[in-house]
Amino acid sequence: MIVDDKLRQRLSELGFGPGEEGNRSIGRGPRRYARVPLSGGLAGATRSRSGSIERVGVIEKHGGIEEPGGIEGLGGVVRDDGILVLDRSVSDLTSRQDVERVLRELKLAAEIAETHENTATELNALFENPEGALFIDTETTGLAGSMVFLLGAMRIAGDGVRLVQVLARDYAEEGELAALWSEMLGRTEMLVSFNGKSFDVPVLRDRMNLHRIKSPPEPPHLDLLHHSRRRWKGEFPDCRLQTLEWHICGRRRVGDIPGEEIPAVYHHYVRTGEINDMLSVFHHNALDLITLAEIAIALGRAVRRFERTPTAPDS
Amino acid sequence: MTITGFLKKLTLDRDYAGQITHVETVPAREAEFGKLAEPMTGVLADALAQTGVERLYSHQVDAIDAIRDGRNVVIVTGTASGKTLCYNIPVIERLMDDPSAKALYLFPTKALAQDQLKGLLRLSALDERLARLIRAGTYDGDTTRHTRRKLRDEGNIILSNPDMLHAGILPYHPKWNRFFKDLKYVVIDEVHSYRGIFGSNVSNVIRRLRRICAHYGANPQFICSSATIANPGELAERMIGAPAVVVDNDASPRGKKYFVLWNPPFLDMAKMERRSTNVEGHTLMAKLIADDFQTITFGRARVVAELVYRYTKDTLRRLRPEYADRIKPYRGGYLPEERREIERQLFSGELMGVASTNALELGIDVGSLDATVIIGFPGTIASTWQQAGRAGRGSDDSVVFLVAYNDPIDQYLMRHGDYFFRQSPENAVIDPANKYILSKHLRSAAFELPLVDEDEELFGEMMEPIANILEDLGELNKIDGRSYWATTEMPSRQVSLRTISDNTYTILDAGKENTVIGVVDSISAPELVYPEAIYLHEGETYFVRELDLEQKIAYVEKREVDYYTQPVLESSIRISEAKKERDWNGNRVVFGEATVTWVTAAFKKIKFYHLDSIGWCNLDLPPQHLETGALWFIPPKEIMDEVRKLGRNPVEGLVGIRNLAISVLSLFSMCDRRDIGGIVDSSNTGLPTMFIYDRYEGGLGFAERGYHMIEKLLRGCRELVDECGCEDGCPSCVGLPILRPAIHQDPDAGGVWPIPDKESARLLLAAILDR
Repeated sequence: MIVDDKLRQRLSELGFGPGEEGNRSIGRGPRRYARVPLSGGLAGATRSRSGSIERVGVIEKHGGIEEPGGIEGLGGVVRDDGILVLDRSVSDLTSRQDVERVLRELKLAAEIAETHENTATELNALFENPEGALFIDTETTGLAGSMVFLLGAMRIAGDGVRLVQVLARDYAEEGELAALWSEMLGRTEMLVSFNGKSFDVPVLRDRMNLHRIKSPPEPPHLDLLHHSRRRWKGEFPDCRLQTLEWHICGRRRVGDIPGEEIPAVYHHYVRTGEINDMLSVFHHNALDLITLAEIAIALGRAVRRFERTPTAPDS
Repeated sequence: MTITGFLKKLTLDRDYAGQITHVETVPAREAEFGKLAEPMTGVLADALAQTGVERLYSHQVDAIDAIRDGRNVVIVTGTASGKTLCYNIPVIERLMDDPSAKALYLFPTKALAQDQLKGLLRLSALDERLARLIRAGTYDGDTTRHTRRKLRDEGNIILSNPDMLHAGILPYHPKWNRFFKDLKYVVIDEVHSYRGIFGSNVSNVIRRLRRICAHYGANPQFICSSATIANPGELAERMIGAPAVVVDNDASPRGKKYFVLWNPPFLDMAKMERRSTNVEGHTLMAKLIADDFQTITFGRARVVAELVYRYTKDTLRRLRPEYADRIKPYRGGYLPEERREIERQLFSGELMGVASTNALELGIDVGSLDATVIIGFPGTIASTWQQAGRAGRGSDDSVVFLVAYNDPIDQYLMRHGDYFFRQSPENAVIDPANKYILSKHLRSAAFELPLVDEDEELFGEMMEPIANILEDLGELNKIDGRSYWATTEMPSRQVSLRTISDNTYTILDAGKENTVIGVVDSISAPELVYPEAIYLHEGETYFVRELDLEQKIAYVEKREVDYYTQPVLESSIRISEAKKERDWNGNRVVFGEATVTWVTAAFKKIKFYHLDSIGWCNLDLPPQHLETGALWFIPPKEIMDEVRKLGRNPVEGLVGIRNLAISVLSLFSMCDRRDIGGIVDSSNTGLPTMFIYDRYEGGLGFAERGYHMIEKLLRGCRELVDECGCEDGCPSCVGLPILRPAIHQDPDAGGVWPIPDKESARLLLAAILDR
């Protein structure tokens, strides 16, 4: 490995530790990290002379998030504790028709739930109260033991779907992210995820433990992976989210960042502050959440043996 | 029959040729008991009484009192002295007082952890209250996912190993937060086995453990146990990075032990070759078993255990047929369930004997036996005593045979009968600050929690410069004084604590639908299961049909043959970089980095019971590389010329010195001779040059030590060669060809290199030292 060779080379220039004579003169290298890495039009941010962006002032406690400005159209605010919160309407991300359809179907499903008997309880809970559910998807720097840097949380609210994406702009901000998650969790009646029972929720729990933040009791959790497997096993090549997205939502992603590249993009972003590739990560995360909602609907339809194929009123 | 009767019978046998060079009688000892400062909890005392423990030995009392006082302790007492109770008693007492308390026990092997768990469960089964209290389990690579979670959430005594702690626990510490928060005791069993590079690694894992505990608010107490070494207190303190009290007043009873040094007789008048050590050793084992002494034999290589087993079984068929099927071989590479079964059979007395490698040296409880046969000096005094300790039931007499190889150290021990017994056991050396090792653990530590300045208290002053380098390389990212892990790698996965990788080859029996019959680590696989090799398994001969280097599989099939195979290795060395250099008495002495390349180039077929080669085949296997620290020594041309003028070949002399130096440096450095390699070569410097190198990737400071003490090293060589009584050099002085002794070579079957001329080495040493 190249890093290993370089490391060995550098170590060989060091002395041999206590009691040994050697070249101990190696000083600290230049600090490569820029504290506030976002560059580009972050709303409310003040631009410093060097072109990087200073931390912005207090916005409001979360819940009250300033209206989206726009990092390349995404919008977002940096809270006083440093983390970046993007809060926007999902329609910014995907076509307005898609969003409307998702919303319509969720509500439609909810109406039917009341009258239908033969239903899966967990799914039923969602359809009974879609506004109480929090759809979640996290992005981490790798497998078990690594950090969570992006938390995507989506809610049905009123006439729209609201998506909040919380970014730890560097490793040091993960504790704030975990604290925010702890509060969100305390206020949530139900979680909806794809593989979140095995991944997102335990990882977030681990990170709260690491940051010595008390984990609130976890609300009921609808993990759609398990339901999808039960429903579609053998019908599709596999039950991965993107496979379902193609077969169920009829959407295929173009130019989406592959999941395995995401950790490296984040590390690069922390090191350099370059936001471009991170935008794809935000987008990827948002699309996962939209698909999550659509899968819920499809499952609901399947479980209820939906007779009617819902059609958009304007089609 | 008594032990003394047996020894007498041996010397009266008509085969006896004066093999006994020395008998040391280790006197018997009476038990001494003590009284705890505060009496033991009734529940525990009652349970112990049921196991026959009514009183505690005074060393147990001292240990328990010190642990109750909150001190770190290292217990250094013999085999079967009740070390385990020294920590189990205070740990269980603590659990009774504080139900949330936790303890972590670390063992060098999975097998030991399982063995100790059994003991703990036997104890807790004696009383319902204990059974409810103790929630213990082994947490290692074999633990199922479900059990892992249960242990993490509910366990209060976790038995694991340093490798698992390093790669399977610490990186996931948030899952263990409740465990670490209440961790009161860390037991490090067999701490003496953590020396050299392994120990240096483990000491850093312990530092990482302490850091994680501190993060969750705990500061556990450490309890170590150790076999007899010269510096148990120092080792324990370096291991845990904190002061520790030594308890070493072994007060357990023991019987008289006869320790016999046994030198195989010469085969010829020229006094060159001796009778095969394996054959001599197996004869002793067979005779002991035939006379109803349960016996364990220790060999230095797997092939030795297999050969001795095979020979002993054969001989017992003649001497005592009903015992021929009541012996077994035991070694690494067998499947775990096979090993557990052998341990059980040995403990229960179903087996009369076992031919083992040092795999049984550590404290697995197989009960005590009557006799130990040690085939070849195991490399350290400490190991020898540890193996010898397997013999001796209570206050009965026991016997130990050390059977010598025809090599310098073994022969030295035979010539100086009392040397071994006057010798203090070795120091166990670890170097937690070794920068190469430390850098790997700082990476892992940063992954677990960002590094902060205060961590220097644990990791020492090398932390900062190394962290700076890691930062420069982009692996760490410093934010507000905290250095975070900044890459997608999982650093602990890239580090194996042990020098032998567990990246294993599988050995499949192609004649039996490819059933797995064994495993071998990838570094040494090409020396054990090369194409056409005879792989010995439970004494049976398996022919290696194919070695698949990509899939890491050796396909073997059973084939009846009357020979085994010995790998022939070739190696070369290239200087990478000189680091330190000096002129000493006109000689150039350099320390630096070098790359050693070796390959199993051929193999010899060796007939069973004989050391004669009956065939030779060349092999075409890819070479392996080792980048390491090396010392090179270049005598000036005038000195070489001086020897040449006296009619001797100076290069041959240098080869002799190389062989001597490897032996001597291994004694100074407390390592096995096989930890050090050597080559004489002139292609690197243009002059005949002696290279001595560490056989560890990156080096461990052996060669470096040789560089600093070059004069003492060469004087040691001269002493060794002057004392040898042979005429023109023999395997006992200048002759042992240890170019790169293979892990899987039979030390008995010797090498292929001619014995260098002794006088050349003496003249060269004189010219160097007496200038």
